[in-house]
Amino acid sequence: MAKYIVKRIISAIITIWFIMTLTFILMNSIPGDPMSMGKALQPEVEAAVRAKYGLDKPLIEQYLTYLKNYTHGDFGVSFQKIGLTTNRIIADGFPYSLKIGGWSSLFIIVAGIGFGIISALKQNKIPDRVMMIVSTLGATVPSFVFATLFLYVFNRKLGWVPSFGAGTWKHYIGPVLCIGMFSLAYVTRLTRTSVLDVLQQDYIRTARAKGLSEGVVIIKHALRNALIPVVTYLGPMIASLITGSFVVEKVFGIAGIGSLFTTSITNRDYTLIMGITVFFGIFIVIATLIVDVLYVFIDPRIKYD
Amino acid sequence: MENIKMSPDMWTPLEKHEKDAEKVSRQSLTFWQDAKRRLKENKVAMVSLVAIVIVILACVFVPMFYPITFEDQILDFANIGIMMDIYEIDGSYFYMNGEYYLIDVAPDGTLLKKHPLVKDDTTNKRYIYDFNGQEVIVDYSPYFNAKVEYMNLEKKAKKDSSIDLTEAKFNLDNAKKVEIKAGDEVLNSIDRVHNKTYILGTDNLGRDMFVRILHGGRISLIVGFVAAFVNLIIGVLYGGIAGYIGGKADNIMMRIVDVISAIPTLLYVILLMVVMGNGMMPIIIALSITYWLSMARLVRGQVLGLKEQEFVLAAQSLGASTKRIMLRHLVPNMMGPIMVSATMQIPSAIFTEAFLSFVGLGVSAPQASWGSLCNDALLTYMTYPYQLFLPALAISITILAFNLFSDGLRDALDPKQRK
Repeated sequence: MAKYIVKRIISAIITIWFIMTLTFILMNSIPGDPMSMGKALQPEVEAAVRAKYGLDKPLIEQYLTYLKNYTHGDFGVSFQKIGLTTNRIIADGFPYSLKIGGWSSLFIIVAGIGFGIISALKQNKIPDRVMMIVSTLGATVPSFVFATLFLYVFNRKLGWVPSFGAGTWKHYIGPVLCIGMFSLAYVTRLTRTSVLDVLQQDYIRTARAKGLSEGVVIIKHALRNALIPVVTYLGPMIASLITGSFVVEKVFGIAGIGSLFTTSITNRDYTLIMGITVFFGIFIVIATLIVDVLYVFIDPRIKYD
Repeated sequence: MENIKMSPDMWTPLEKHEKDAEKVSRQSLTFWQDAKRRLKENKVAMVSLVAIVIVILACVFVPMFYPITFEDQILDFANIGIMMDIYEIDGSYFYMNGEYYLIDVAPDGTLLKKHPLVKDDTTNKRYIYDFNGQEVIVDYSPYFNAKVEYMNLEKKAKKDSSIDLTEAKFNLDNAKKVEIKAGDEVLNSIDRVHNKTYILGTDNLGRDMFVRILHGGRISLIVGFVAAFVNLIIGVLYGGIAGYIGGKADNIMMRIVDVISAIPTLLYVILLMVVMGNGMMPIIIALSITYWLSMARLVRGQVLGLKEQEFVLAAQSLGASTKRIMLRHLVPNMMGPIMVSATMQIPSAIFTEAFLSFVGLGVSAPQASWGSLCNDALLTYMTYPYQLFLPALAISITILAFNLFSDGLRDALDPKQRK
């Protein structure tokens, strides 16, 4: 098992290196360079600026500096706003995003597993049908539609929630629901299938035959095994939360890292795009790594070597 | 045991219909006929298929014959909704748009022209019009005053955090906006009619929403289909080669897939779009080169299972080339799962395109896709919700139809379900 974990960590490091290299290659293949975007500069000024940002050096040297800076936690500076760094953006925006992401995860896990269990136990009855319809819609309606619809109904028509910003807890209801919708649908379906599958196993029949109450059978015997596949989804879920944050933060006007990222895309601020992409990449890889390692402890049936 | 008594009438020939009783009456079906039959029995899947066909046909053909193109714009007719409240004065009919300008209409809802403004009285917050000598005043001061009041409250709220603006904002949004007066008499709308000129209204530049949604549908569907098709080609080739050759090559090829799949794909689609610039082709390229991984894995798995079977051995011993075995023997045998996976990729490509357009990386104006239409409408959706919700509805219906159809296709092609 230790061997598996070490192997997993090494592959995560390789992936991160791959992400960084790919990002570097892509960003350097954009036609033109940062100097050719604004108005023409005097040659000596341009040379000075190039020297400041290290653009006068050969590409391979730039690449090595880039790797060195990033591994030391320096994600670069903006080419458009003087003094703005990626680290600053991460420090400003990430707390909001993390808060939304954290509550969304909680919402997805609690509601998704709950709904999944209910619809599995009431298979093909009305609660099951309703939940399957809701979860189909959840996977069908794009999050920006859901977010705007939410604002339109609950802000404009009913006036229950504020429309903009991230001040009070009321501000978070919309973003959490909207980001959670897509994954909620997935977790509900996954839990439902998995519970249905487990309920047909022999050990459940054995547990029932022993005369255990239905509650004990479900909670102690069925759920513990049924939830193992659900854990695997947690990794991809983090990635979907991040992409969800791009849209939801834009609609709800929250200055989280997602909306700062979309702004830097609109502004074509290439160094910021690069820095935030790598940051997201590393974040997702590490999150997936943690889920994978946890999985080893959760599921004793699988022997890793 | 009793002895069976034999009698001569037991030995007469059978009647014809009695002979047929033992015959297999069900026609023997091939795999595809069987799948087709099962798909036809699935009502949800068939309804979805019909919906998909209607959407495709509408998007392809209607813009060809529609009198208005997706680029035609009449700024005077901007932001006009589907339903219009019309007013009447002295036998002439007019409609007031969201900016309180009056537009002449026919009683049936056909838009005629913008009514010429006599005076823009900014001090008293009103517009003055002339209808055949009768003065009509559009007084927008009620809302203006309410807004001023709200802004004062907002200023106070900045200092005093106990003031809750939500309710005040709500009241403001629902305040009476404007009054239309002819002389001293307040005019009320006489009728609510359908917009005859633009059946789904216009956008903020006075372009027809109906045609723009259909045109946007073309782009979204092209992106969906082409991306799914290219993924299919790359996935089948890559997975097929890895699975068929096996050994070291397979190992290396699949490790590459593992590494690529560990990186968050959408980030790379975004990055590729930043590099290549906006437009339909970049989206297709970006989606094509990132989304083939699952197809490659699926095909490799299938090939690994199939290549050990006797028919491949038979083909090999008859001297068939690798290419022939791949295309003639292996691919047709795994068409089922491939097709299911490809149909599932279409909605996901449409989804991603909508997402990209929404974050500002999609097709650029005057082109439109469903996602970019939603993005354009985002700033004003509180005032003109139809501009956002109509394209959103189009995306949702299409994706729902594709999802349900691919579910049905999966059930139909699953041999475990064969009865």
